[in-house]
Amino acid sequence: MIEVGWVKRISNLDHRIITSVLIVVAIFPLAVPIQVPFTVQSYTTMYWDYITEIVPDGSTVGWLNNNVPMVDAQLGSGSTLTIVKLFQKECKIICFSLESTSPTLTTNYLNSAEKILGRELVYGVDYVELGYVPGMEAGLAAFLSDIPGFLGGRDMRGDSIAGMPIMEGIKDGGDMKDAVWGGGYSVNEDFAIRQWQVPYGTRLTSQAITMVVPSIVPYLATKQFYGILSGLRGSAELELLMKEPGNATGQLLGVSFSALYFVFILLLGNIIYAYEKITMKEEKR
Amino acid sequence: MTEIHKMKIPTAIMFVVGMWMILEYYLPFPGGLIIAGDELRNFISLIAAGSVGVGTVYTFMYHAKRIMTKTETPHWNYSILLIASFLITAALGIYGGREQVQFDWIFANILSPLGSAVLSTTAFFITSAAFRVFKIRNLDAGILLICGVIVVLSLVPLATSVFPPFTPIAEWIQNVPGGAGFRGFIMGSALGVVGISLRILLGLQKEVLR
Repeated sequence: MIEVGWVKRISNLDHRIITSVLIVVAIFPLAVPIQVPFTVQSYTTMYWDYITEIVPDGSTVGWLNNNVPMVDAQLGSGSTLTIVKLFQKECKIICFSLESTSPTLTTNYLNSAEKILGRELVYGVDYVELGYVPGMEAGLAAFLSDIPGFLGGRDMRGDSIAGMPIMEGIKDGGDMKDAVWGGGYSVNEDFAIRQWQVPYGTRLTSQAITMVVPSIVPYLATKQFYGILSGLRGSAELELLMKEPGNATGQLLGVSFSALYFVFILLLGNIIYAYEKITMKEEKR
Repeated sequence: MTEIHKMKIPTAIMFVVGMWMILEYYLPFPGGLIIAGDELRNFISLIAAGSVGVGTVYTFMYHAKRIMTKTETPHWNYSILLIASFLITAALGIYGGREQVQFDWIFANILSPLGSAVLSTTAFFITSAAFRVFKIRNLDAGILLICGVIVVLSLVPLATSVFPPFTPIAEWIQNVPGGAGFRGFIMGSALGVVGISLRILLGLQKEVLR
């Protein structure tokens, strides 16, 4: 029989103790790294099938990167490996963003991808950075309806896009038959469907942090999105599929311990709650 | 006169522009009107780009004012940090460009980790709140807790390696009941947006102009 005093103490556990233990639990795997096997979720399998099989080799692919520094730890690795895979298929990538801090991350991902590929990527031929498109949904609609017109004929660096081989024949959103929608941290998939997938028929796949995944799931059955790269777990799974273990695989263990601790705390709270309820009932009798 | 300037003219502009956008999306408009619609969207984009500048100036002025009236403002010293960071980053970006090493270093080693840290603080709040509030008080809460625990455990390699069915069960929860619920939520919120948009276009939702 547990002492009621102890139950009360646990029930009133200070939040500083709960969060301090969480810090220790999250940091512990960094000090004692161990390899934990994990399986690939169906969302990532669909994403993988999209970038490896559905996107034709050598095609021009749009990549809207909305990753901001806040989500870089979760999606950075997955974004880089997606670029690597597309370049391995000799695809060309047209990059743009709806967030003002994303273009810097786009450049970082491209640089990392270049190192993994071990070959120099040619700007204007293999990829182009069109930069920040302000105005969220209205901005996206305007951009996709007339890409060179919206940009004033210039890319993010201020160079003319008219002479770039990658931009030949790119007039509107429909000229990119496939695209990666890197939604980042906000629920904005409906923009993609309303302004890109439906009007232009572009096939889309998505990247998002784990919290946003439920908002994309309904669009998988309708094939308005082909797969989801979901958060850190998705990035780690992509690393596994590409046999390129990196940051995401390393961080996954820390997140695993934290999640287990969260479940433990949740169950502990409920056990104490049930015990208190039963004790109160017995006292009433 | 004030009523006309402040309410009626803006409402009329909103009605014309809003209806234009709606009709252009659903109906086959003549080419000239579509081009004009594109111009309007470009205008929105320009306003959004301009608002970034306005926001920056306003933030700067607000924090400068906090520093100047430091005796009346608590935690005014954080404003010094903000303005110093802003000026240093802006100066490096403007004079050196995005490719500059120091600018890149600030982005990779200060902004990115701080952003991740801000996002990760939710884990601490959620864990602490879950312990105190998330109790099985009725059947609905019980189902929610069980589903939540399964979905969380499906993302944990340690759990899925011990009990592999966590992954398919969690995917079923997300795809079938979760997906159905979210579809309902999407439709409900879409109807809500249609309703509120109509009220704004017809000038019934006067709060947007106040």
